[in-house]
Amino acid sequence: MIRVVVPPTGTSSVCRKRTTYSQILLERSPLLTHISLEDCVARRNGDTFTVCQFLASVQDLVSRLPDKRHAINLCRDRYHFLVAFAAALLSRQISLLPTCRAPEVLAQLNHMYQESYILADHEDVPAHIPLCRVQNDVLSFNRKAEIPTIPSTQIAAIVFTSGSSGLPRAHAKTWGSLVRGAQALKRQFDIGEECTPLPIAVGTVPVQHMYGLETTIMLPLQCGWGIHAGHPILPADIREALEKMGQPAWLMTTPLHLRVLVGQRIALPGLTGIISATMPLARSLACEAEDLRRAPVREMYGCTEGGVIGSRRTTAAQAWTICPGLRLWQEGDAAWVSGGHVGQSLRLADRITVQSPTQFILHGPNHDLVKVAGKRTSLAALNAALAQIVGVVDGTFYRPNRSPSATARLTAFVVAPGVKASTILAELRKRIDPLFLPRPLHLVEALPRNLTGKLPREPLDEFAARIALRNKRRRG
Amino acid sequence: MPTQIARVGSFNTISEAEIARLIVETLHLEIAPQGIDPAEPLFGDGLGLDSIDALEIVLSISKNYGVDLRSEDCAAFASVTALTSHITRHTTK
Repeated sequence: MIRVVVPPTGTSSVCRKRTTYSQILLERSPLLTHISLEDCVARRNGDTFTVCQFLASVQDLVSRLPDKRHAINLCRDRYHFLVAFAAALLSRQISLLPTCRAPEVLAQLNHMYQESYILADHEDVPAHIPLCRVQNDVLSFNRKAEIPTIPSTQIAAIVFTSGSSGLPRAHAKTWGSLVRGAQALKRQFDIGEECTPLPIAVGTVPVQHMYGLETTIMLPLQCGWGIHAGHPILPADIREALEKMGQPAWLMTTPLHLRVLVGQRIALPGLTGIISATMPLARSLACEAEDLRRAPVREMYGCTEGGVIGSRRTTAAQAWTICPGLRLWQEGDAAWVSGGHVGQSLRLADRITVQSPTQFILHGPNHDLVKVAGKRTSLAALNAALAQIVGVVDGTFYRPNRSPSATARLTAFVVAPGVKASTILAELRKRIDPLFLPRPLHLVEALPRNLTGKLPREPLDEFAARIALRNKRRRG
Repeated sequence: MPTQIARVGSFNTISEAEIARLIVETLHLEIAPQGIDPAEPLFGDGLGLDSIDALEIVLSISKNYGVDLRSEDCAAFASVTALTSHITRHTTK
């Protein structure tokens, strides 16, 4: 690890304190940890991009970046994303990483962040926001380039979660916290320097999502690995990507993608590691994946605000191992984490039992929290959206008690006399992310509310079972 | 587990009704298979399906017909008619 740190000079305790503070301020970490300038940074189909080529593309883009403060990085190609992310870093610009590309969301970001513009490798962007095109076809490059270092305290990126009110909430990430998070992941997964050729990180997850950023950008940069430029989702696409590269690869994926990979039983040549996150992975699915792929399946638990918190080898342990440097504790029903790459105390949205200073058990989201495919919201926010629809008298979203590996779609029970389910769905589509749309939406005469008007879980579960049975009979 | 659809006829005669039923049962849609217009777009404004649904459909088609769809086959996802014809083409070898 190359770190440029100013040596302490003071002798008195006051001076020493000052020195420590200035040390933090002056600490810098390299953009990447590849040993040679000829090492591979990225692969796209049959092409390889070396550290030299990468740095030349970054410098080229730096010279073209507008003099603004915030860059909304919407690149679809993962290598383009990396070039754009690095160019913004070296220009002391902050990368904004929205998980949703809807025009209204981008307009809102552009309004909220003065001096912002879009960095993209495609034209599918709102016309009123300034655009800077990203490409990587730099032909000449310097074979004696130096690896740039970036101040650890510099804000590198702002990532977003959906707040309970429905408006996105911003979380700033310093370069130091991203680097420390990647180093924690490296230790969690026992990644050494010895394996050659070094693997390529292939992701089925978007890079603008915290998990995608951690595993398909920051981890490869900190391990000296290459990244796969594509975004293969279907098993046949992943197989094609692996075949074209012909070198070891780690797959950064989710239980949803893994279930389809295992189900289709497609051969994946060269796969040496699988990481899963965004929702709990069933042990049976992890076992099947390991048997079929002959690669260990490791699971990460984390959140957008804190990044990775812990990990486990799903087939070997139910308990999760806390990342080094982090402290996890319980206060009543709530779990908190602090230290390391997380920094100040952060309350977690999941129910957790801390077993020991290094181990914890994850029970799942708090009652109100809803997670689908790495996106989250709350039942309260969804119910509020439902209640706003004209003609809806009463209604509630409902999370069925399915196994965690199921697609975990929500259903809804709605009282709306004279209104069609399709009309309500069309109205909901305007208000909430499509991933949270009820599947199905049941029109009912009344909800099983108690005398105080509340909807206790148990009667609601019985009610849901009755409705499901009724519909099954109707369909025959 | 993905929906197992009772095969009607031989490989050469996969019907649009059969594919419509596979979609409805795989995705737990609250509509009758007959209610799907075979020419209607599956994603976006038509049936309003999303990327997770696409994964489920791909798995179900692989299990039932042994056809592995790729992203570049996106034209096949245009409608029930397009999907039926794609599967028919790729199972009749």
